[in-house]
Amino acid sequence: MDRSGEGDDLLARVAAIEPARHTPLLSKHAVRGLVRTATATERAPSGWTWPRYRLASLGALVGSGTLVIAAIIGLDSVGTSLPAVLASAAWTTRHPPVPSTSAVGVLFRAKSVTAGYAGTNDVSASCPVLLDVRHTSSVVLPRGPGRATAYRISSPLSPSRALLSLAPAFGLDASQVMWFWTGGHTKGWWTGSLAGPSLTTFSSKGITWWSYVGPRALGQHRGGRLAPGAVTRRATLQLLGRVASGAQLGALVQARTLSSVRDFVPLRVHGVTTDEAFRISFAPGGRITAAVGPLATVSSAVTYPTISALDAARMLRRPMGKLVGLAAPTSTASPASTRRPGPTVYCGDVMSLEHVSSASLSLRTAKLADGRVWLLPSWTFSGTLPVAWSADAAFGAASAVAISPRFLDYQPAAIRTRTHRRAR
Amino acid sequence: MRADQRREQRFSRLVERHADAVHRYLRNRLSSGDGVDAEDILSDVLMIAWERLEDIPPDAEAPWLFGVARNRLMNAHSKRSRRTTIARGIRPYGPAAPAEDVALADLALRSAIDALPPTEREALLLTAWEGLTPSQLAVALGVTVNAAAIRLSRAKSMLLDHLRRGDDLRESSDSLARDTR
Repeated sequence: MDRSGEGDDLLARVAAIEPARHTPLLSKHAVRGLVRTATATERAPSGWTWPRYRLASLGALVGSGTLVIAAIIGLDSVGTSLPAVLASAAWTTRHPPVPSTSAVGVLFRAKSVTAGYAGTNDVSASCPVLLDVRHTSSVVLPRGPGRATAYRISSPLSPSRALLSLAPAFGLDASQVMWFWTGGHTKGWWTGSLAGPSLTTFSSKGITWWSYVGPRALGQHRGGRLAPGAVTRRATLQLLGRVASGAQLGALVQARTLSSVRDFVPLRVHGVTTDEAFRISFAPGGRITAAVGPLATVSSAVTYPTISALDAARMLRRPMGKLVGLAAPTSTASPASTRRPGPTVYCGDVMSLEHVSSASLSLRTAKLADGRVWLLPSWTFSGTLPVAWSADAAFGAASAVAISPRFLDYQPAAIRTRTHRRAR
Repeated sequence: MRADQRREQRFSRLVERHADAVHRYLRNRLSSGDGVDAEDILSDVLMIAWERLEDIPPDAEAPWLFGVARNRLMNAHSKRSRRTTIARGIRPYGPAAPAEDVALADLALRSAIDALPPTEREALLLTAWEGLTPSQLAVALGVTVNAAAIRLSRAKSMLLDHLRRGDDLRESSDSLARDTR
């Protein structure tokens, strides 16, 4: 077997998945700082400074597919426990003093949702961060509807069956199907060519996903003039229609709900935006170069009382944990609680949300301990940060579940933080 | 110019030329939850480079720095027993991530790369991600050029075999076809 051509394709494919390929260049200031640090006569420990934090956050923002770190604060004390740090003068000058004992809200950074970690070893892929949220009284946050509906979703096809069903939709015959371990004991499936086209299916957070790479998509640039919207819209509708037909779905995505077809097609359920989306990229001219999306349909709907956006924002400041259970709305007792702490996780960052300025209600995906996947009504906040945090292991923009907490069961985790060193 | 000034000048130029590449090297190999900070290791690497400036081959500065970074990473991970993974989220957070990035996250390939032995994996990634030539690869790995070439060849071969799964493929597709009837 001649593998020389395959070897070149392989290296190109490996190059295409380089995680840090979008890492921004170090600033001149950062480089000078590195030189100073290295050439100092005493080997003093490097510390956190604002540029370094910002560098780390930008790198994570653009270089990582997992959750991003937005704005961060610089710490100027050595080995100081966090509550004391948060009570430093820099925090109190612009806002009413916040008692240190209640100043810290513990969040979970959204876990990496590579399929291998869905439901297995998920704690090791999550990192709780500490967040201080202050709400300025001049901003009026919505009270909300008082009640909202949660939707249980499921996939009609397993990844293996989805691969065989969807391959024709992408012009692939699936005569050769390969599998791979996604981590733990979960399999993913793929067919096609290393250089594209290829189709991959896998399970992520209890939902089957498909991922398509077009022929010779590697090295394609998205620069240049895009095809007219009508062209990309038509291509998107055709593709999603074929996917829905192949997966025997009753079309979770309705044509009339499409808001943008250039790249990002958010899914809506009864008009409410979810955090699920199809993503489709086009070459100039309108040819689809890559596409990825979930295969899911709504299997049940349950309505719950909800809390106001202000109450939900305040919850961001309280230790939460991992959402593991959801009680029925008719339940009068608190859900069975697994109050024993979860595994210790590492946390290295402290984040600050200066103030919450607005909130909107949407649906966020959560996989519970019983394996069921729900779209939960959640308040999504925006403030001084472009991207913010999830309060309860759901990922995405800053959000907290809007359902009344008495129906929610959280498993707290023991948090271990590292010592921050003095900034130079 | 005094000797120490010349030394500082040489070091400054080295950092200007290669700090980005080393930073990217570290970010490529660290994932969230590792408990290891790329910027900390970058500082350590450059401190070592300053101390051993005279040992750095002028025509192979970047590979030499990658070699130091690799050792620092191994030290940092020495207490961890988990297999090294190149874990990256699939789900895009917000509208920023284009479909190519998500689709090209390529779970099958990542899984296969993770399964490679560490030395072969590093040879492959230094070639594919850091773009090292065979002679540069040898410097980074601390082996001869011939040995580096062998490791890279072995890595590619093992990767292709892993992706194809050999006899398992036939069995898997047959059982898959039966399951869907």
